[in-house]
Amino acid sequence: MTLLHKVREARRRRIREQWEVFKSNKLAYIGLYILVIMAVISVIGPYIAPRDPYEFDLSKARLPPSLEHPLGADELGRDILSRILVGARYTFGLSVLSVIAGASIGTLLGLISGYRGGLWDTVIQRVNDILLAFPTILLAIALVAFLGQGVHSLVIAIAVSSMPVYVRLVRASVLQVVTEDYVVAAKMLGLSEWSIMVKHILPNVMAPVLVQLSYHMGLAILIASALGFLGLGVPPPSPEWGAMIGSGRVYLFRSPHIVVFPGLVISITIIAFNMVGDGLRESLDPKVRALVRRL
Amino acid sequence: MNDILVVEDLRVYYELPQGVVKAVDGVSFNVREGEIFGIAGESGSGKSTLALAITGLLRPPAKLVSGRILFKGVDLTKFSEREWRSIRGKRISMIFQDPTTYLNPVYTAGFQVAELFEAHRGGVISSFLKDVVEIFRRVKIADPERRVASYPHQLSGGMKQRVLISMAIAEKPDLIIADEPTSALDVTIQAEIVDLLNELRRSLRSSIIFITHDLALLTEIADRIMVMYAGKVVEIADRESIVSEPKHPYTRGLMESVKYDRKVRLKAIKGSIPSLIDPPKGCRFHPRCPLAMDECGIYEPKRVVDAKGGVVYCHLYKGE
Repeated sequence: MTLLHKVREARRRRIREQWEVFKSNKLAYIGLYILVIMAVISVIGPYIAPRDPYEFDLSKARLPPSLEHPLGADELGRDILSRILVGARYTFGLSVLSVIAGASIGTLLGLISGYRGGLWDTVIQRVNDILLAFPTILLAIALVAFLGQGVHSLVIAIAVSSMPVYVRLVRASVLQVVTEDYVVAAKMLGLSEWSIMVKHILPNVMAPVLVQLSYHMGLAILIASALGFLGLGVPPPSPEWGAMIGSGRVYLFRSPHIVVFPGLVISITIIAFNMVGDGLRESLDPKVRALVRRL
Repeated sequence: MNDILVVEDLRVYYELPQGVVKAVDGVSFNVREGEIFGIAGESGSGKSTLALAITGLLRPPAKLVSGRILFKGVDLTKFSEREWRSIRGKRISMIFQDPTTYLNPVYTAGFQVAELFEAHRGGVISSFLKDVVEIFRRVKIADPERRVASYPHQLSGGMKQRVLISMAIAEKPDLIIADEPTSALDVTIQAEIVDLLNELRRSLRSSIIFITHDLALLTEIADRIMVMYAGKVVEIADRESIVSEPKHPYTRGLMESVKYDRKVRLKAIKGSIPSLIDPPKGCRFHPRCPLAMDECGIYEPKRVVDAKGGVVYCHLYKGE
């Protein structure tokens, strides 16, 4: 076995160890399964939908669940199951990707802010303070109002409204890591600022970011559906989950299935994200890992 | 012998809200090629600040107020961050006190050493792993091929210190600064590390600045010893002179507090190190000095050089 293999093997062993801890948390494991299924549906949704999610037939309006329509039909007679399957890419896919985008930008800004300090820090933090001052949903609504309704403004709204948390989180962790001796040692080796920042600081601040990310994705789904509910999300007739609830709410008491099923899917997804977040927090914590190693 | 490092009247102050801490206050010394130069002092005597100043790692609130640090004749105090990067790890390197915290927990030991080669030689990290094994062997890490792929938490304290030493010597630097390299280790491992440094000094022909609070240790390995007290130099002399005829009362006190003799009780120096914000006037040691005279509390002692080249700052000695 060559040296390179050995180093790679050591890295793999470490990841395997984290995976074992994650797996030992049954809830997190189930959550991950749900999320993987959601992700798959986001991609192949339109191909597995039993019916055309856009085809309406007023004669079937508000039909309760039946063999023909497993989750019933909505107020325009569209198949709810198909709409949920196709809508996954709007609510789930879009929120996840937007949060990842927002978190990446936020992490980068937090890194610069914490490591560089000085004017960089002041400017980034003050702008961030302004963004943080608005409640997330309000900020998202304002951004959609400003950018106009559409998929791109939904992405920007979620990304921008989720970014400030990461700027703060990463900056705080960086300030802590910067004083670590191994960063001084890296400087002493004559490494460049960039490689210190990316290789030595970033990996050591990633754990809280990953945990936050999984909780945040759940939150983003809530924001996306809330915007959809308010009619500010993906424009109709796209089957976005929040919009489905929004348009069906008038019939909440007479035909609850129109609202209940998309609501259930939203809840399950958010809970799954939270369970995965808990699992991640455990598996990324070296103390917990050491404990498991001993068992 | 030529001087590899000359420090002239170096002053490093920490500007704190409570006042200005004069951590290093007018320190001058020289380090010769290939020697082990020991710096001894209590905690708070400014020895670690001195080490940071020589490596350009001072961070606010520490501030280099005045003085020159000549490394091979070039003044390091005028260096830009880029220039520093080109000599750090390559021409001047450092071994740190606590080996457990100076290795990044997310990378293997081999990777972190290879990174040094990458920074100074260019190329891909993975191509340097062979050199890393070579250097690990040199610092006597058992089973180096396996240790290259070990994470810091899988290594013992002594082993980690060896990894850090391997980083320090990897590029065969001219000057190695060892800041309390053995203080965090077990006594048996201390001896091994000291032996290793001694051996490396001979094979690499590097100078080593060995900083410690343990004067007894220095009298075993250092060629010359500088004793610091409250940010100032007290005495600089070769090892024999420090052992057989320490001049400054403080050095004598230190020697008496470490000399082992069954019949005589160990003597401690009374009192503790003074505040560096408002240090005593005159000689900073005078409130604790058993031989203090009136003038000690008024004038700062001048630099007195003896026939052997030893330096002492004390009113007991007048220049010839």
